[in-house]
Amino acid sequence: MASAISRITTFAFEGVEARPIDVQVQLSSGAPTFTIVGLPDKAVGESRERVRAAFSALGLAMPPNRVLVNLAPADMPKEGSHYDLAIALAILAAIGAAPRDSLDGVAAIGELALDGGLADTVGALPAAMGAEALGLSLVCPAACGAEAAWSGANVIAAPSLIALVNHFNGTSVLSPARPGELESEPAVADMRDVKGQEAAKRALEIAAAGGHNLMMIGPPGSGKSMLAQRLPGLLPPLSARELLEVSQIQSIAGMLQRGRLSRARPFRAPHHSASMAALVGGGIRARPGEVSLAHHGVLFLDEIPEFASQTLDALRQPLENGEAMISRANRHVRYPSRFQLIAAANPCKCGGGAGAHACRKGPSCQANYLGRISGPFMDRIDLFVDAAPVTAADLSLPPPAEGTAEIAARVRAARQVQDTRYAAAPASRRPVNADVPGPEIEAACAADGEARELLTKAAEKMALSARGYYRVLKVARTIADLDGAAAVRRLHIAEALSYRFRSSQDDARRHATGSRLSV
Amino acid sequence: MSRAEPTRQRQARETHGRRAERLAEVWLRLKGYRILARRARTPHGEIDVVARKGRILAFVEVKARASQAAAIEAVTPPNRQRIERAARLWAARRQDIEECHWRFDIMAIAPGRLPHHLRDAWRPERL
Repeated sequence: MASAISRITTFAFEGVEARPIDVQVQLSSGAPTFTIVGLPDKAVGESRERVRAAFSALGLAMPPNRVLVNLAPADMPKEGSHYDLAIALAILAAIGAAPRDSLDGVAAIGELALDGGLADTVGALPAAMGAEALGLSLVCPAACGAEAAWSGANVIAAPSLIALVNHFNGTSVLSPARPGELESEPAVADMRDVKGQEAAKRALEIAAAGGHNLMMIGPPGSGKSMLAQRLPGLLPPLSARELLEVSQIQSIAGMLQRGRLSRARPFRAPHHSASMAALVGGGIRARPGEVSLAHHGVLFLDEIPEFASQTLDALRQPLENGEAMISRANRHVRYPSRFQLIAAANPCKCGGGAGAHACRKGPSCQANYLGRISGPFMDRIDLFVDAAPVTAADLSLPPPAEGTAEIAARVRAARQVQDTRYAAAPASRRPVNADVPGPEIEAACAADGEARELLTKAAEKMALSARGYYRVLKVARTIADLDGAAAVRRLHIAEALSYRFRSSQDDARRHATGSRLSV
Repeated sequence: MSRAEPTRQRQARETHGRRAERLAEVWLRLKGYRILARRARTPHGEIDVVARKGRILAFVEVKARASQAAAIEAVTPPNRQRIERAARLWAARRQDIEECHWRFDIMAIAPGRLPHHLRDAWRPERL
C-alpha cells in the first residue's frame, strides 16, 4: 500500500525563539498502533490520548492503520502540550477528513481538550511571529487569537477541532483573528504621596532618566519600597520594538491575558526567598526567570542582603550581558534580560534607624550586613542613596509640589536627548546612558576642564576603578541631560560623585583624616 | 487452562469453547469474512479465529459466558497482550497479509442470544 504522508508545521520554543517543527504523519498497514517519535517528552507523548479522545468526540475513529507521527528535526527534544493540534490536523488530512492540500502554508499550535475543544496555550505570539517569518498562516486556539494576531501574521483562531475541519472543508469559514486591545495604562501610585526623601527622589529620577541601577539604603519604614513602586510611573512607555520583545517573553511565560499587551514597563519584585531558577530562569521547561520578565523594565530587589549570595551572583551575567543563559545537557536556552535593577537594603541587620531601631553593635554590623553582597555585584550598581528615616515633621508637611507627572516629563525629555544621541547604537543595547561603553561616554560627555579636574582628583582620592570612573561619567551625563546641558560640567560630576557607595567605615576614616570631598 | 482441573469438568469446558468458536466462525462467514485460521497456535499463545474481509485482518477472541457483558469483560489486559504477541508471530509467518490493517475483535457469545461481534475492541499500545 502506498503510504499516505501528510505534513504540517508547528513550533518548538527555545527561549523566546520559535523553531519550526515539521509534523509528518504516515498511515501504513499493520497493527493499529499510534506512535509519536522525535524525542517527545511526557506531555507530547500523552497527546496521543488527547487526539484519540478528541477524534471520538468528533465522531471519528482513529484510522485502522499504523499511525506514525514524526516530529522533525528528530534530534531536538520537544516539550509541552501545544503539539496536539498539529498532530490532529495532520492525521485528519491523512485520513481525508480534511483536504490534503488545505494544510499547505499552514502552521498550527494548540492543546486539545477531550471534547475536541482547543485550550489556551503559551507562546502563541512567538509562534505567530515564526509563522509570519516563514510566510505561513497560523492556526491556534480561539483564546490565543488576539495575542497571535499582534504578529501581523494571518491567524485563524478556532474554538474547536470541528470548527477547523469545517473551515478547511469550506463549509463554514473562520474569519482571521484580530489583535487584542492595548491594556490601558495601569494606575500607578503618585510620587506626591511620598513626603520628604528629596535625595532619594532625585536619585530615582536620575535612575529613571539614564536607566541606571540604583540601591537605596535606609532604615525600615523610610519609604524605600514606596519609592521603588513609583518608579514605573516615571519611565517612558515601551517603544513598539520593546513592546514586542516584552510581550514575547510574557507569552512564553503565559502571562498575556486575552491578548492584551501593555505598554507599561514591567515591574518585577521577587521575594528574597526566590531561588536561582526563579530569578534567572530554569525549571523543567527552562522557563524565563524574573530577570527576563523584567526585560526593558525594572527588577526591584527589596532587602537585597537577605537574598542568597549565590542567587545574587547569578544575576551578574544577565546584568552584564543583557541576557540570561540557561544551560541544559544538550542545548542552551537564552532569554533577553535587559533590565534596570533597583535594590533596597537596611543599613544593618538591626535595622539601623533612629531610636528603638538604632544599631547597638557599631559599624561592623553594617559592614557584615552589606558585606553579604559581593563586591563585583556592588560594582554594577551606579547610584547609591541613603533614604533617611522619615521624621514626624516630614509627615506633617503639605504634599510636595511635584508629583509623578512633573518628574516623568523631565525624564521623558532626558530620554529623548539620549534617543537622538544613541540613534546609531546597536539594537542589542538600550538607548540610555547606563548602557553606553566607556570610550563612547567620554566623547558624549564633552566635559570641560574644571569638570575633568574634579573627576581626576576624586578618582585618586576615592581610588576609583576604571569601571567606577566611567560609571561616574555616565551618571554625570544623565544629570546633565536632565539639566538640558549639552556638556557635562563640574556640578554634574560633583552630584554624580555623591552617589558613590560609602560605607560608614569610610565615613569614619574620612572624618579622621579630615579629607572630605566637597560635594 | 493449564490449571489442574478434574478431567470431566475440563472436557466440558473444552467442548463448550469449541462450540462457541464454531458459532463465531459461522457468524463471521455470514458477515462476509474469510476465515484464515482457527486456533492458531504460536509460542506466545493461541488466537481463536483469524478472519479477513477486504483489507481488514481481524484477530478474534471468542468468549462464551452467561452474559455478553461478562464475555467482553473476560478479555483481560494480560489476555490482550498475549493475543497481540501471538498475532505478531502469526503474521510474521504469512506472506499474503502485508497490505492489511490489523484489528483486534471480541466475539461475545451468551446463551439465547445472537453472537455479539465487538469490532476494534482494543488497540495495542506498542507492537
